[in-house]
Amino acid sequence: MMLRWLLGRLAGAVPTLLGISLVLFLVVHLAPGGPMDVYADNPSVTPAALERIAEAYGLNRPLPVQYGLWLKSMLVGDWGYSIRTGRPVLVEMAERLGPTLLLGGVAMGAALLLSLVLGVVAAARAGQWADRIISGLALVGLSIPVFWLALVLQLVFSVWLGWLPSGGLQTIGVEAVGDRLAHLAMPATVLAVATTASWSRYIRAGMITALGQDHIRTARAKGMGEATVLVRHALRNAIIPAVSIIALDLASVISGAVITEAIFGWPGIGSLFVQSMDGRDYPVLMGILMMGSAAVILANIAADLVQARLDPRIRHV
Amino acid sequence: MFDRRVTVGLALLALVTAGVVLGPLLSPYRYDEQSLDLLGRPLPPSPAHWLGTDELGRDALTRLLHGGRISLAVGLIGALVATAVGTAIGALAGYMGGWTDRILMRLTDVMLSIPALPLVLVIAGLVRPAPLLLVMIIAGLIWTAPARLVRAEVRSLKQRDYIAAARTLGAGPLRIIVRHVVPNTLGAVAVSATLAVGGAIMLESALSFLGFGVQPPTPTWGNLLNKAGPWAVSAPWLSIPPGLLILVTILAVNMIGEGLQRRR
Amino acid sequence: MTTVSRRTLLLGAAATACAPARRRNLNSLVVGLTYDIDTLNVYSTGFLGDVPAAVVEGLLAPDADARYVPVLATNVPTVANGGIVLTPEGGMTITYRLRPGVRWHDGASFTSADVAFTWRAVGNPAFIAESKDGTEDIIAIETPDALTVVCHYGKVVPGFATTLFTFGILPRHLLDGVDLNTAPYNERPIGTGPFRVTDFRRGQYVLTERNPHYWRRDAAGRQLPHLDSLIFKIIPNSNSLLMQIRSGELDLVVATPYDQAKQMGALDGIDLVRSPLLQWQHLDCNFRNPALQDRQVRLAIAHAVDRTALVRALGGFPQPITSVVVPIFPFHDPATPTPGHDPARARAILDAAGWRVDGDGVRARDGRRLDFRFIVQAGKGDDELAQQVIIAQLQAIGILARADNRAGVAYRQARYKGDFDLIYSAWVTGADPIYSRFFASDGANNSLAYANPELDAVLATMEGTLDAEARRVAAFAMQRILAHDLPTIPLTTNVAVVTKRRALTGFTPNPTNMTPFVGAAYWRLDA
Repeated sequence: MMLRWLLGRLAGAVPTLLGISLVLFLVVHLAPGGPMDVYADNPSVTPAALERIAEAYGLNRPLPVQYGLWLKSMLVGDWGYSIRTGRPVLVEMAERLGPTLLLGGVAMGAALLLSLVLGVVAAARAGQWADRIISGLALVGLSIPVFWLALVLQLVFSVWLGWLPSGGLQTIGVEAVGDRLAHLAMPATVLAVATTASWSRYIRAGMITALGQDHIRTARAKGMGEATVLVRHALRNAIIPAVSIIALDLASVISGAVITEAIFGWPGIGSLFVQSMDGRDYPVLMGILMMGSAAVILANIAADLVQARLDPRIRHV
Repeated sequence: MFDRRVTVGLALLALVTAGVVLGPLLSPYRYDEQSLDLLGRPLPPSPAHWLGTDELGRDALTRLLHGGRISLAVGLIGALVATAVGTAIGALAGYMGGWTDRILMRLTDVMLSIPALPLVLVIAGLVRPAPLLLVMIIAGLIWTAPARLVRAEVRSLKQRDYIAAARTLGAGPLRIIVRHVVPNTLGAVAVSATLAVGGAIMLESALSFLGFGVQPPTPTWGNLLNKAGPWAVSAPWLSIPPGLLILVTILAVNMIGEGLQRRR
Repeated sequence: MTTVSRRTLLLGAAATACAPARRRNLNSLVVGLTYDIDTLNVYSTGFLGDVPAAVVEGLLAPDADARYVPVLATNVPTVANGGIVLTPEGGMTITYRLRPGVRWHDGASFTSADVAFTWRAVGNPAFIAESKDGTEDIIAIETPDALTVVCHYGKVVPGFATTLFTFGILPRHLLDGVDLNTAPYNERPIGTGPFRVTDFRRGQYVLTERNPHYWRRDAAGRQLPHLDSLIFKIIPNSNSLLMQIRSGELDLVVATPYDQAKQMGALDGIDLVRSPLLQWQHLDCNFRNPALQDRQVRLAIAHAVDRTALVRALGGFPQPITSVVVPIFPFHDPATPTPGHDPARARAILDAAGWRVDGDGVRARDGRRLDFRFIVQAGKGDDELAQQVIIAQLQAIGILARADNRAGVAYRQARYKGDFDLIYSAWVTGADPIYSRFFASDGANNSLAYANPELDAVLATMEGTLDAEARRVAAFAMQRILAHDLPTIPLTTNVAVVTKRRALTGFTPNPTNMTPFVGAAYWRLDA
């Protein structure tokens, strides 16, 4: 049953992915310039060489044919070569994925823990001062521009206090956990702030709904402790609607850490994206956008799966 | 009675708006007026320049307020366009159902799945948008949220008796949507429009911060921060205020949105 | 002794700055690079080859005065020493004698076959290179023995040393038959230079260590290089650059952006060294715009710009210039007539030419407004700043210039195709400058649609003879013609601001595009 549902969902994602690939392809190929222009300004690339490059990339074919060819090669894992470095796009991306996953993992892990605590506390004390403070902070967290927060943190912790390194993945040649953590602290905080704010609001809302439901009242009536009620019974129900949001945010970290990575010189996908923007490195840009979009779609499906596991009422038949 | 957050939010927004509209008029300096005497490096706040000057001797406060005009305008217009487009698409999809609905919602899914900031960066990097085009690009990315919201509202409204009555009286779909459906979704639209303003301001400032948005000497909060970045260490008075104003503005807008939502 | 004091210095720095202590080899130098390296192949990189200059060597290299000195060749070929022979057909033959006993990083011997291979490999049309200059001037290369290279040129090329063999020699034994566009060489170049690459992490750093087979010795006979390793740290964010110099994480930045140099001020143990560059900033007028075809408009613009203000805005680092030939060259003409800063005169010139101020303060004639698209490279803070100053100066005489800045390749595209009205940018030449590429009507980098047959003739003379006096006369004529036609308004010459730890000695600046890293073998860290 479950397998059939999963296959169905995956099949349903195919048209969306096709649509995404079409949008991206059109954006890149219809824009003034187009992918060939990167070479056109290089005085040492002769017209004959241009012709050969165009042929090699299939760029002198009609647009629909080009799209078909591009799609075909994407499917068989040939994502083309970076214009900037001449290396395969997949190699470029794979090299940068590790730092991004590390940063995203730490930031999202911290955000999840914090938002669970804050959401539950706010809901348990709904309307009281603890709730007001948490909700107020959450609203500020949602409104703060990440690039500014990053700048302010750098100023305070690197320049004024001198506690933390201002950027980079590690001190060159130093392989120590402490050094890694010191480098992670600020970028991870910046990434986690908005996420924590958003998730804690969902969890609070879910908790309040859950606490008003019959079986919670029954549990309380049976004389269960407040903590047990909150965590065992209410949280389980409260988390269900938040799961899809959490999954989406997790997926977007892969491509969404653009600003944070650029400011902190974090050598991940986001930095690669900014550098590829400067070099008009279309194959890499397309690769990152495709991977980011696919991650979002997969996260949606994963969220549905998790929701089904958590909520016995949801059955995929 | 308004929720208190709406009141506070509106007051904050009014304050910021008044500042950016009136400030440049009252300032003795033009936003692009350079001072040959002060050229070279930023100077800290002084009685003549309340927020100091930038490295071209331009008055930081005047630029901050003038920049606010552009940032606010991009935010408001962007949100307006996005909400209008989103409402139209949502209402159409929700009312028509069937294939129209499926195609429009698939399009919404596609747009929601592509990471927004990277996509805007690619487009903005390719076309170097003037402010008006920038508004369009931003709107083109944030119309999905109101579209989904309105579609859901419309689908539930469709079941109501008075719509059915209108239909039996022979009213066409367009007439029903415009006369009966949209007016009843206005509450939901207002909330999502408010939130869209915050989204649009954030996107514009992020783009300009990365150097792909509005080009100097026209200031916006984002590009002021971009220019202040390299001076953050020795001239923090240039980088703190623009970010603070972005924060206050988006906070105000979110408070209004939140309050409206609670009232519904 | 040295080690102890250096450690003391480090401890002191760490204690005062409260910065994360640096733990590393005491005889290694950490260099900050302000850009993210694309490739380490010197022929395909879009940046100056800082890292390759310490790793790869050419036959010749320019010294601190932009004069060529032998590296892998034993002398600089000239007509006088018989290295250059002019042929009756109007070409020339250059013979290089190669240094014996030179080894590649992998131990293989360096021979004439490598030189001939480099010419073939770089000239190969399938190789997408950033610079192929010089390859097409050579018609044939002979290698009579392992240490002799004879290059046949189809014409007289005075600037033969500027490119190709000076950039670096490629190892034939590793690259023959390999696609240079995708070769592993681009990540781990193998050269004959003082340092060899041991690790390259993209977006992070390049590690090098001393080449144990290096051929060069210092005056005392000790084998070079002095340093155990050079570490290149990639820091595209200029804010972080400043913070890391302060905290002692960096020892050297050879091209400190002016806006950061302004803030370095007085930092303990840090020297700011200014050295000239063969690079000059200029404001160019695109003749595709009919208004800019009017010499009076260009003249007015030239009178409107105030070099003093530009220099001040850029922290006082650049030097004002009046000629496209930077003063370091012997054929710079200090008497080039130049329109000085005089806004009143500029306004009068425009009034007289019929460009009248209309309602919005912008001048117009016959419905055509002096409203220009003005491009600089986006993200280059110093250029963007100078642009703002120029915009204000033009505004003062009734000319509207609107910033239309682009980044990266989009910028280069606009620049090469002439998709702008005004452009503020820099050109840099080699030690043997070739100006035809900028100003000749068919110049590869002339995107201004500017053409003057008289200038074409002068440039042909200048770049077609080895006679120093004839070249000087032609160069003076070129400067005079450009100062009259004003397609380009030379503004300032840049200086390289080198931020270095005081303990680094033996450092020689280099004004050419070969960067100071050509001298890295001589650098040492003292107490």
